[in-house]
Amino acid sequence: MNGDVSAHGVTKAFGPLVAVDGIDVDFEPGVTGLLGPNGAGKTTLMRMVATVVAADSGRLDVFGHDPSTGAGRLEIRRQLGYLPQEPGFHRNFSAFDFVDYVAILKEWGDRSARHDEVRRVLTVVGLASVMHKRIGRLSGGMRRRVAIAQALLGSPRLLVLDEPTAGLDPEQRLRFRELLGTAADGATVLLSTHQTDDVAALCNRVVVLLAGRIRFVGSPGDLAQRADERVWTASTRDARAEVAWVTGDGAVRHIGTPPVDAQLVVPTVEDGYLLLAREADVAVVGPS
Amino acid sequence: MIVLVALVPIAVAALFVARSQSRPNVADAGWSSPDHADVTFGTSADRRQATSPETIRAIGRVEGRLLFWSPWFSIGLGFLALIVLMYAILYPDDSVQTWAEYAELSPWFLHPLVGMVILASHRAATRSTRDGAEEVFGVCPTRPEIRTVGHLAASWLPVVVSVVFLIGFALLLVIRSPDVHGSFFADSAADFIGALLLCVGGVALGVALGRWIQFALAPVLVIVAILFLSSGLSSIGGSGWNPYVQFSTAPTIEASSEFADRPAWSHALWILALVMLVAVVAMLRHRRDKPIFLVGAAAIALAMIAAFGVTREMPSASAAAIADRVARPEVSQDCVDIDDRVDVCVFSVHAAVADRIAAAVAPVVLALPDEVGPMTIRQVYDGRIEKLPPEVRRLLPRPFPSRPANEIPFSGFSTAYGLAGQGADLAFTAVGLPTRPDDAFMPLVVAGEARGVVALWLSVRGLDLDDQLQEATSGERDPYMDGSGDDVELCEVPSVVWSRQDLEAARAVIQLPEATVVRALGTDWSRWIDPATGTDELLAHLELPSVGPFDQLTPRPGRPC
Repeated sequence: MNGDVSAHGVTKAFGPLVAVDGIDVDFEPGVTGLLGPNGAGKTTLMRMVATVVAADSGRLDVFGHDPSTGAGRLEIRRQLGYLPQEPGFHRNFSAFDFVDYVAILKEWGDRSARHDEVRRVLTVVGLASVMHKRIGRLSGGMRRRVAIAQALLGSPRLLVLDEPTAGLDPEQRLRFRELLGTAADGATVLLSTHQTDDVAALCNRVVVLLAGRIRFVGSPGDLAQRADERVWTASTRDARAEVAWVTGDGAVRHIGTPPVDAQLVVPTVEDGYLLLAREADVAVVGPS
Repeated sequence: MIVLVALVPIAVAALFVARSQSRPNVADAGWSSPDHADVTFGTSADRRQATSPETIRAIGRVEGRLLFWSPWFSIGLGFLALIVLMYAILYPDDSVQTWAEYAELSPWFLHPLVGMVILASHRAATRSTRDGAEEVFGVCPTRPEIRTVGHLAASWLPVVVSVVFLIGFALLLVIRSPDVHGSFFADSAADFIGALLLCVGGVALGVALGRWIQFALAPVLVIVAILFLSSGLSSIGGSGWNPYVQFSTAPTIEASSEFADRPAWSHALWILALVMLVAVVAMLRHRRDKPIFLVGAAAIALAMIAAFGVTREMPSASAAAIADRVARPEVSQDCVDIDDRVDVCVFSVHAAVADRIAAAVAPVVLALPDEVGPMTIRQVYDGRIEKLPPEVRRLLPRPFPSRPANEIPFSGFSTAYGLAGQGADLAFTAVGLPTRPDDAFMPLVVAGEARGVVALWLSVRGLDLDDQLQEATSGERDPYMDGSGDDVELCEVPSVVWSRQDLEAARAVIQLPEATVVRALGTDWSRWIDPATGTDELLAHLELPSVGPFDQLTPRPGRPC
């Protein structure tokens, strides 16, 4: 257990469904991306770290605090910024009022300082000009930024962001990346996403979860490297490929064991992830 | 007009609902490159953390502000506005009679607001779950029980609004209603405290319900249940004494203050205990430890003490004083003399009103022949003896002494009409007509009798001619509902009934110069009050055309109040 956040043998099940299956992982300062298909256990793992739900077994340690105890949860929550996958809003609140309410619940003592902080985080996410508009009147993207803003309150040591870029347009995603880019030195950030390019651009480390288990821990480059010499393009689909899809320029991109004369290309994080996911799937299902 | 005013709160609520349904219409705010000086991470420990009381105050401030903008609260404000409009602006003459009774009524005034506060507070307490924000709020370091206390702290708003309302209403009454008199008693403070505690209780009940039952209609069902419970409490004991009515949040006021010694402080304590219990129920959702159980036990103990206090017998000195006021009202009354012939006597607390009654009655007295008198218009206990507490009833003489024949009893003066009505009672008594229906609730028919016309003429002395005609003889109404001078609608039967022709005769007499009629009546008073003297005889004496033959009316009984 070396990281700021450590999980050892952590398991969480919902009825017969084992969402997280005895995982061991450390999360260190910087941005860690969690990759995995829907139902892989990313959100459950993040909710456990964020003290929303408790692990059934195993041990979690967040900055030396145990989230299974009341005192531990309190200390963790004092250092936490959390963006759930589908945050709800009080639609009749203004953006300012909503973030201010969260700031109150985050124990901001001084009213003036609290309001300054609320204005700061709303400015950081580019909502200064609409902070007093009711949330019900804001677009989906702006609401997402309100949710991000509340997570940034108090410059938390631990940021748990579940699909933060969902609903953001390309430019806003760039701004978000830029924003988180400054986090690497000061905080531990857990980021769940389906956007592998976000991971490539943002994360120091990547954790790939598949069926509740960790399948990869390493840098984005390492993940991409796993597909080295296993990605090629061709004009037609090759049935021997593990995964193949038509790209924007009309070429077919393949991942798998390339033919001898294949035109190899430099792999991306997405290639590495897809290959990993495919291999894991084969491993589970067994060779056909 | 009233309907329009009542529509205002509904319109306000509709506006709020419409606003809440609005769609996104704010142009997308661009997200420029963040100022890196503003972007910081990992410094979460570098600020002062709020203490729990600070957090509670902050939540209370915000929730209070949100409560103010709640459509339910707006409807509650609308009800308060309606009360002010009705009792202080449109009909100030119908206002309460003493300031102490104003304080007694304060819980009644605030009940509509409290009902709306329950609904609004339930919405507030369930807001984060309804809106899906609970996951964000739930991982904040503020514990759920602190959030609940913060919600309870929002009760500052209805308390402040109620204080403003009670003071504003009182000031308007001072300006608008000449009939409010007397002073506040020590018990009045308990009444006001109890009323304000109800506001806190409304918030507490809404929050407690929200913490346990998310169902939107839950507070509505609870309010209906409370209404039924209150109604049930009020009906215990039938028409007799009912001490359990004090368990209601707004006990029925059975008698005016001079005939009651209400356990006002015990009742305030009872409300406080209820509020504490409801608050404990709210807290039990999150916390079941010793301090909460201790507070709960204290609330139960307080409730038991208060229950004993509200149902116990009143002090013997109070019982004796009330029994004395019931049996021998003259002992504790102040009187005003009119022309050495008629006294107006009221209990000391109403002394300020005696002059107003005397002023209203004086024109009638002055129109009476000198031979009439002396008479006394006296305030008496007019309720059922069984309604008095047993400790008072035990002290009353048996049989209950009848009042002197020359005494005109009255019980209260909650309206200006009630004040002026004493003149009519005096007129009727002077000519030998009853002021109330008989024991079988039968009116006396005076069709064709001169004394009936004389009574009508006398009863409206001091009014403008139009008012005289209106009050005495407004022609097209059912004669059974007309002209008695009493508030006949209360019991749906007047004390006296005239024929249509008598009313016509009265109209003609009223239009004569007053001095002419006074002179005519004064010359042979005993003749004009004799049942055998006909209306046409009186008209002939006044040189007015006859109106007979007269309709033959068969008396029909009314029903008791």
